[in-house]
Amino acid sequence: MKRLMSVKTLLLTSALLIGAFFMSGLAQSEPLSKDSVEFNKVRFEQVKQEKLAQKWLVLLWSVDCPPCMKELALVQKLQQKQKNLAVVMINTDTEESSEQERDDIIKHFNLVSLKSFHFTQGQEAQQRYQVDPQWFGELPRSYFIDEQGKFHGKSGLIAEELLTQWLLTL
Amino acid sequence: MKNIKNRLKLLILMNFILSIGISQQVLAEPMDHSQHQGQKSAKQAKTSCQKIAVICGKTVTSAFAPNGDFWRVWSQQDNIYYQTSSDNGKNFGIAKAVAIPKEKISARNENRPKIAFDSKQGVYLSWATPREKKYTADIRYSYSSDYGKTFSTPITVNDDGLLTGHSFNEMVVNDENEVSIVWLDGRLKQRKDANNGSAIFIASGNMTKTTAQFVNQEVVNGTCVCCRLAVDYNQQGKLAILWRHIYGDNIREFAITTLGEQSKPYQVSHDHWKINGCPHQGGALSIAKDNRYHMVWYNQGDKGKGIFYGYSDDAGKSLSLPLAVGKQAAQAAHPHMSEQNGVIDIVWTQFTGTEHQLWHQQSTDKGVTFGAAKVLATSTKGSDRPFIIQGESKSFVSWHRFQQGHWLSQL
Repeated sequence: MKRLMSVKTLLLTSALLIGAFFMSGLAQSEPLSKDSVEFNKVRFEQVKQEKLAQKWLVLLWSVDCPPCMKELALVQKLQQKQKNLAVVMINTDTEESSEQERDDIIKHFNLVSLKSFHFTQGQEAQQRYQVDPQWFGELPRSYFIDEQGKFHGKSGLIAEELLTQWLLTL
Repeated sequence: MKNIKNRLKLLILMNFILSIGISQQVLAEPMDHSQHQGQKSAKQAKTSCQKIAVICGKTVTSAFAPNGDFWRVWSQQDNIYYQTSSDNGKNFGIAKAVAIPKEKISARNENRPKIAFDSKQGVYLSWATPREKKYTADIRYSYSSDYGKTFSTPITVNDDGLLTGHSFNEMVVNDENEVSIVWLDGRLKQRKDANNGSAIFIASGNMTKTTAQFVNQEVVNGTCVCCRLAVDYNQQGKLAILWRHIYGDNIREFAITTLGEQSKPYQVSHDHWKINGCPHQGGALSIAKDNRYHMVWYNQGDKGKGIFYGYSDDAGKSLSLPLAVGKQAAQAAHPHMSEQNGVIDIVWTQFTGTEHQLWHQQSTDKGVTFGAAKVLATSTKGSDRPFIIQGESKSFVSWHRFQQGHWLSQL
């Protein structure tokens, strides 16, 4: 009987453990619980795969870049016209002092629903290179990705008409 | 009993299989795996750089004092720290905080504290301190008359009292102990010739005299807002300034002016880089004893891409044929240069995809020809801008690599 009890305890413990394992697994696969997640090559590739056969935009920005704020404001304006805008944002700041600022800006422009990445301290150049080996870090940097998955990079603030034409599908 | 034993065995086996399955699932998801690694490395980076040490500084500014001591300066936790070396950077004394009240110090990208010396015991510091509103800051200044033992209470150099941008300060001290600070200033933004840009202002003072200090003067309006300035004295003792200007519809080209010698700046580069954005890349200027102005800059225009070197014998009015420096395909960027006794040294960084490289090229005939480019050092973590620092009769390269350390080497 005692043995049977211990078996029952074991079964219960196992069930709890397995449950906890899966729960933690689910929690780990939900990186968008915060406003922004750390950029890495695998994640970026995953996004590229998800966006295959559609037109989308990658916007790289920094808290230290005034024209970037103008472009974020343009994205906000388009977001108001059309939800689920095909825009992925990548913040290039890695300083601890920039973290709060980054989140505040994303919230300020109401862009929390867009996918947001940020670079990692000490890996800024590597990650820049992963995005585009031909890009030197000037900001804002926008990539227009066509239905074939081809990247067309452009530095500096993008004209509103171009963004509208590229992103609004309605 | 046998049945219970078998059920127990089966349960253990199931647990084993499940645990393998789960661990394989975790391993089969590189995204999560790398996420953990990324977070771990970021956390490690943060925790390992809480100590007060140059290795934890994001930017390093350095200079030789007249007595031959090498000083390096960085910012951490709202303090400015410095260390000195009497053997050209081989060994350093302990890190000391500049004895002034804590305040925020801008130290990112092209924006960082500056240090200079006079011929006596004077040590000069200037920096930008961010204000409460985004993209606003003040230029701050403190002075030591006793070689760093004590520093004066910091003052704000910009005299407009406006909550606007004042940053990217550069500072020089001449033989008469006159200190000049130039910076990018946002007070004229509403004016028509601003072109969405900043203005350059200058203020000078002399700690040994009781004349009016740091009266602000406008130099030029319509400059890029995020690129460092470059300054040097010419042989007439006039200060020359090289900066990235905004021409027409966001064409960002380098321009130069020599204060007191011309009314209108000269355009130096003609690479036609049109960008309504932040290049984060300024130039460098060094004026030789024969008054030849040596310059390097960086552009990504449709007429010129990469790093270029050029010299001028008429203060920038006309320029030698620009020489391309470094490999554009290898991300050659952030050039700096200096001239000493007819020798011109240029340093810059390149990036392989995994490794930062510090490159060097030298001319011994006043910039007419250059030797082959060589790699001096590498870094896998990070790379601050490299700078050439002039010693008494030798030139050194100063390169800081976040979490790898600051490196000084004679060229």
